Amino acid sequence: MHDDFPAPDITPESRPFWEAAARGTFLIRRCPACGTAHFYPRSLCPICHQAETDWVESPGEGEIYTWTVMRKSPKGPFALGYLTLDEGPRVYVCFRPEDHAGLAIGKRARIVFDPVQGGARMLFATLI
Amino acid sequence: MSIRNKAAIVGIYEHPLRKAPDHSTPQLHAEVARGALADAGLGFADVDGYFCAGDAPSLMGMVDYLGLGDLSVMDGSEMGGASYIAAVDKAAQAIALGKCRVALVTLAGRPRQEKPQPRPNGAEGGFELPYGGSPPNSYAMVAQRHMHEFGTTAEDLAWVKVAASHHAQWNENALLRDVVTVEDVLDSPMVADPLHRLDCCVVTDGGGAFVITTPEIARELNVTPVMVRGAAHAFKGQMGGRVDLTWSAAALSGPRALEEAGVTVRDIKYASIYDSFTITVIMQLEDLGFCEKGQGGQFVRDGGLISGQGRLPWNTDGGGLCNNHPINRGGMTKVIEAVRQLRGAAHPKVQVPDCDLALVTGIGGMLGLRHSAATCILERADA
Ligand SMILES: [Zn+2]
Repeated sequence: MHDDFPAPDITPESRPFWEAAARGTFLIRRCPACGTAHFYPRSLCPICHQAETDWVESPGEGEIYTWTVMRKSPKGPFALGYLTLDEGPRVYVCFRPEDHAGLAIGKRARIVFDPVQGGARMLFATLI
Repeated sequence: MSIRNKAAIVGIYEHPLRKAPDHSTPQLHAEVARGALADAGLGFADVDGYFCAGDAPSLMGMVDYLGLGDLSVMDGSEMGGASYIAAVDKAAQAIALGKCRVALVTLAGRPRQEKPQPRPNGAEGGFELPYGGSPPNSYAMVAQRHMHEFGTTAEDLAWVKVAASHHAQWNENALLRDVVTVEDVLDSPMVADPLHRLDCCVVTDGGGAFVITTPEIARELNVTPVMVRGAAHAFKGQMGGRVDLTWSAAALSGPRALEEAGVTVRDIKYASIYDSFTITVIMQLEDLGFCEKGQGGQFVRDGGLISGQGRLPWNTDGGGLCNNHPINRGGMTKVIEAVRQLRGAAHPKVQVPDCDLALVTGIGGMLGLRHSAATCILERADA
């Protein structure tokens, strides 16, 4: 579906995220000490540094914080931005091509996992 | 301990080339090094401190190529375009501590000939790199949010480019010398909404260098020393997902540098403000305190940045937007034009009268993802 996008680099730390993504599940990390969720996932809580964080499932829904459509690109236009999840963190995402014309700050969108090169899954966002 | 007045910039050199198909990158570093040392009246044998950044093939490779001798300080840390203003900070610290006496800082590269090599990425890589985002995307996300929050307009952004073009017309080495209008900017193709092609800096080969030394050595040389009154560098990232794109790390580095210098922005006669994109300038003008947050658009409107006409003379060489942004990093040229201004050696059409105090900034990395900022306050020695 997005053949011009390479597969994401998977590290031992991020492997559970991508394994869940392959099943269509969006995981974020939450800190048991301060209770906050963050993104991108990491085991050290970047907010309070007090505890090892836990994986939790997220509906991946939220509101567009900012966006841009890159017009000058060999792979054709693509749109990047941040989605503010209802849990708090802002996630850097690529929006699906069919949503380009409708992008606006404040609109609701949802994380989806679409195939990229080699069939791997990468996170994208779509308007809801 | 403060670095205030403990170090002086005594030599500068900006490579005249903007396209360098027949040079190697180390060769360009060597040419700018020789140029800056000659400007200072010093030689390679005098250098005991060397600073470069990610544009150099490697720190040790460059030290070896340049034939530098017994260096007591060397640093190749990479902060993107802010590296060379951070180097003012770090070299001044080393000189203040007596760790070295003559430090050379070089930048050079050939992005028009070969794509700069990507660097290893950390844990964020898997979540960002597949999208293929580039600096225009990242700065465009910031501009989009700035417009939403503060009502900044495409016309406001365009005024930054208009000012740069007014200055570049007098710079015979500038890549773009045509004076442009707000309409020209708005009529140029959209690159990444809301940034048009003329909101983006030029891509240039070439480079630049400066030499920084002790006040005692500076006084023995046949140049007007430019003293470092204060300097600071800072970082801002995604804040664990709490990223707020309405401010830059210049909001951290600026006040620290000004405090160390013991001055305020109202004392500044000339500003070299990093201009990778037009939004980069508006953001920093606010973060440094030249105007209230959200008022940057108003500040630059109607020629606010044009030397001899506006409220703040800025980037009088034409900046990264029109003159030179060598190897996709503009920090070096910001230092160089500020030194020219303080020496009274800028082009007469853009020279600020009695220019004795300048502010210089750099931004490195991607403003919308993670970036560094550096600020320094430079002063004419006889001021
Ligand atoms: Zn925590």
